[in-house]
Amino acid sequence: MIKRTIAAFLFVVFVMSPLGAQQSGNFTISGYVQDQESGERLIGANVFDPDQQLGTTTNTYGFFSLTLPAGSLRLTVAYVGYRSSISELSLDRDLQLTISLQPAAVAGDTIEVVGEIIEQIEERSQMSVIDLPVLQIRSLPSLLGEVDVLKTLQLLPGVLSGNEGTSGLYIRGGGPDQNLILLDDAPVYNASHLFGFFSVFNADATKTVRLTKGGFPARFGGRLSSVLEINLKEGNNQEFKGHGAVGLIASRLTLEGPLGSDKTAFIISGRRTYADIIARPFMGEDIIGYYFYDLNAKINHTFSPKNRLYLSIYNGDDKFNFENRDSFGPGEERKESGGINWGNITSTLRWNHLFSNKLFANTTLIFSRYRFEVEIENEENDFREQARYFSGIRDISGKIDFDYIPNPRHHIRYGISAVHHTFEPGAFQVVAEEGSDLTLLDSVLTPSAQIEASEFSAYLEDDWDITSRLKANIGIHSSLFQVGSASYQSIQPRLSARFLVGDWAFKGAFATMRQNIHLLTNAGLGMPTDLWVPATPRVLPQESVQYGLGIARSLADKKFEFSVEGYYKTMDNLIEYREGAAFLDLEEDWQDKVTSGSGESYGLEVFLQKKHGRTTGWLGYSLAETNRKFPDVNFGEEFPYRYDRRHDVKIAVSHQLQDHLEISSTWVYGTGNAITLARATFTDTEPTINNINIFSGTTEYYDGRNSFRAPAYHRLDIALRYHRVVDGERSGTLSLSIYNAYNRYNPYFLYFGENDDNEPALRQVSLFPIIPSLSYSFHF
Amino acid sequence: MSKTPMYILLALCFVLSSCEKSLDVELPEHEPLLVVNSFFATDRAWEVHVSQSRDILDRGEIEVIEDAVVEIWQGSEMVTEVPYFNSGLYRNPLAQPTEPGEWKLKVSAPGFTTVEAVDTIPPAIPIRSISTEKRQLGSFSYEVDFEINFDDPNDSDNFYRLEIFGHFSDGSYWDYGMQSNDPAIRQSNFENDGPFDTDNFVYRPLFNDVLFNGSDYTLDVTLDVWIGGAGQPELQFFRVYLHSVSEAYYNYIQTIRLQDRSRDNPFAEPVFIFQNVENGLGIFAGYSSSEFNISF
Repeated sequence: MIKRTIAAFLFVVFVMSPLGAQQSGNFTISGYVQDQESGERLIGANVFDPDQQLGTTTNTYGFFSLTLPAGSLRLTVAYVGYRSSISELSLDRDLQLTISLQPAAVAGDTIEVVGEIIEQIEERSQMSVIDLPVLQIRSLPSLLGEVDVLKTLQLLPGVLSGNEGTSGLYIRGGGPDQNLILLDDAPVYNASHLFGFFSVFNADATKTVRLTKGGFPARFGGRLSSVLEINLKEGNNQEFKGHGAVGLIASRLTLEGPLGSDKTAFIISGRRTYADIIARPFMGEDIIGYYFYDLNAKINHTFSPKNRLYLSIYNGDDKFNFENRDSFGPGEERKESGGINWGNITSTLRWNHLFSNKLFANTTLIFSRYRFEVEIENEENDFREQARYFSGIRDISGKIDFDYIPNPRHHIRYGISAVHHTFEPGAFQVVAEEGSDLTLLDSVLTPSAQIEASEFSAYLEDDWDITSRLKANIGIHSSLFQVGSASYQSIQPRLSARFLVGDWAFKGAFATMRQNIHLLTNAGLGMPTDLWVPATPRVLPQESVQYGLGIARSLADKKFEFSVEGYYKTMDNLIEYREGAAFLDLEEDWQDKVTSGSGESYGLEVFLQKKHGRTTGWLGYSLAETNRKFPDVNFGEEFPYRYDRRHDVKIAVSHQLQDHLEISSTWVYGTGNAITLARATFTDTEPTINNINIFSGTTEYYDGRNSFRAPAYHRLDIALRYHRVVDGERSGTLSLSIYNAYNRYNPYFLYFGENDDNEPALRQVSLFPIIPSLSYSFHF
Repeated sequence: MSKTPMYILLALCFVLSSCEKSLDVELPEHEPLLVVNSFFATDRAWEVHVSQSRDILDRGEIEVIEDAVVEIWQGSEMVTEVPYFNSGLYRNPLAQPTEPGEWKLKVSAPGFTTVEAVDTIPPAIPIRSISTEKRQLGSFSYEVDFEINFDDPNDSDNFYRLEIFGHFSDGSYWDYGMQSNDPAIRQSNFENDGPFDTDNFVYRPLFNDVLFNGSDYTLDVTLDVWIGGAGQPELQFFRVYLHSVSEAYYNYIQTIRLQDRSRDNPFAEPVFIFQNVENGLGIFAGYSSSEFNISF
């Protein structure tokens, strides 16, 4: 099967490419669309001729290719938040253009006009895709003033947040490991800071955010539930610019500009929390501290109109440390110290090459590493012992992707990739030293040693305008995963289609997905301790099949987009910890701690969005159910997934009150999480040959896994933003955010304890009461 | 348990402590269920303990049931009624299971739905031989290695439990825990306590025949034996019991131990106790035993 896939791929590369040869009477306009002020390439800009109703969109690098009949045309280019460009052209030869769009900088500009001609929801063949403008992310309220990409995504229907305040994504019944999170094409394995309360993505350095929840195009693979593409800015190649922000818990600074000429540009952006620095002077001998930081850097150079190189790097870490000292008398001292560190490094080197005006290629080399580490050290006089636990995953990969656009009816994409994974699923080292005698007690006590695995994939897809009413994206993704003696291959067909009936688009999608890696997690918090592990001969790759049906159309003179989507998803070979198992049972191989099962998820999502104008935002509702079934869990009976949320309502609105003043608000409501609670205690017994041995009252009875519903979650956030404008440009923004405006005590976790009258009770811990915060961002 | 989860919790508490607020959540009241516990064997009088479950928020004593009707059935015939003895225990010293095979328990009590449970007594598996080797560690302590050989039947899945008692000259006996690296024991028992606990100590280990189904198997265990000094009773011999237990027996004890082990670990998944009592809670499980004496 793999051979057949490779043969098909070679067919496309070597046989179809010559189709790019000039067809009689047609000429090709190709080039790039960019921001006029910064030179940033614009992704997904609409390039078309309204008279012939033929067009295309720019790819991830701002490239487009449009082949049209000879003659005169009005080439129109439109992009959300920019003034449209309309050029009268006489097409009598191939043209190469770089089209610069002017940002519609402040409200009151011609954004409404732009809205008329951008690609509408009913025109796209794909369903379950949401582009989230970064400006909209910035305008919404935020926790402690920290603008957060993932938290904004949690405001979309079908995307759940898991626990209060955390930035995990649970999409259409899938787990947090089933999201392929790509930062400039590099996978990010742990996208959270501060135990999940903030995500690692710095909005100041982010250019675009796109979430795909279903109907996956063939170019994506490796995860079951979603693809989140975050593209970083390229850097301003016109002039040096800076912007930053000072907040309650963190500050950030971004610098960007040309290097030498407009052929080279850079951007560097950093963020750090400073609670540890502020608290340090108030601590005595016992020290405890925490901080996180992010650093994004990117540089690109245009060698020629056909060649451009990008290098982007992300480095982010969380560091928690403590030190306690006890003194027992002169010369007698005991010191206990340690820390917990976790973080990601990703780097991506990309080379854009234009083989012809219809064939665009991107070659990428990627490095991604996530590492979690705990170190504990005890010192007493001349005795010292040190324990260290670490786990992580490291990827080195390469891929080549082609965009081939033979004519306006076809946009063919194909490519291949290879990934080498190195898994470190938990290792424990212990060192003890007395005087000068150093003893390595055991270099690695955990039986789970490093595991190497390789993954190869190829894909082919065509975005095909079959008729003026029928459009489809048809593709196939193939993968081969090798780990130890095991080899897993798969062919994954993909289809999404749109059929126009009047103003309504009827959409359907089908996708099979394969995921060769698993995440071992049992706290449900997106803890840094979660372990990435590969499929093995004993633990099979995860698989899913997802079907989707929906309708979509634009409303109110194309100011609104409305869609209703239904989906049904099955998942196989999911893993869970066995009952009683935990990640730190170090004496056990992780494979002995897990059990495999299946999942099922279905639901209906309603989405109404307004992307432009003085008032923007959306309203989302989802009705869903998701269950799991594991032979070794809940005695083999089906049970609700922890994040099975029957009703989920999301409202996000921003409104420009005046040129200087913006107000925004979000409200969310969700059915409470499904949790497992003991309901009773009862006598148990462990007999010996001589005695029945009745023990009373400590054994707990559960009436089912996740059978109890925590109280519902709802919250209102409000933000007010005041822009300082100097010489017609915004030079600073003062933001006041109020998180949880009506002070709702939402459940973070439940436990059995005592109430204020010292009576046993089921207690709820809530984290965040009403939290106002102030931040100031500035530009120069 | 390793300290590492505690440090992670400490870090999490540090982060969250300033925001935390607790309040009560309403929990629907638990309707008490009848709880019956009974292990039965051919050489043992019928004993059934009957009590009722207690709401998780109830701090009172577990209530035993003194007015239940406890019946033992074999097929469609009631074999015996088991009268109340004391402290929730129903006992019939004059009746015991007469043969291996399937037995049924029925218990009814005022205010409760009648509960039923069915289980079998598996055939006893004889111990073919035991060899020991002892090493003196100190004046009064020895380490004794046991090699216990038996034939596992190949026509069924078999489950076992091992007990070793030391019998002393004054007639007293001692119930020994043991260490073992035997793979059959290691895969079924959860007594280890983190990476520093390397002695693999376990009381009355359970194991199954997954690793040796249908073959002759020799089980390895080691006992730490303390003997008294002058004037103390003398250790004379060991009595080794190899219990052939039903699958229900095995699953029940496994889950009881696993729940107990993971109770204080906030990162562990909750453990559901295996039950085989219809309409109620508890266990009704059969076993048979073979024994072997070997001198110290």
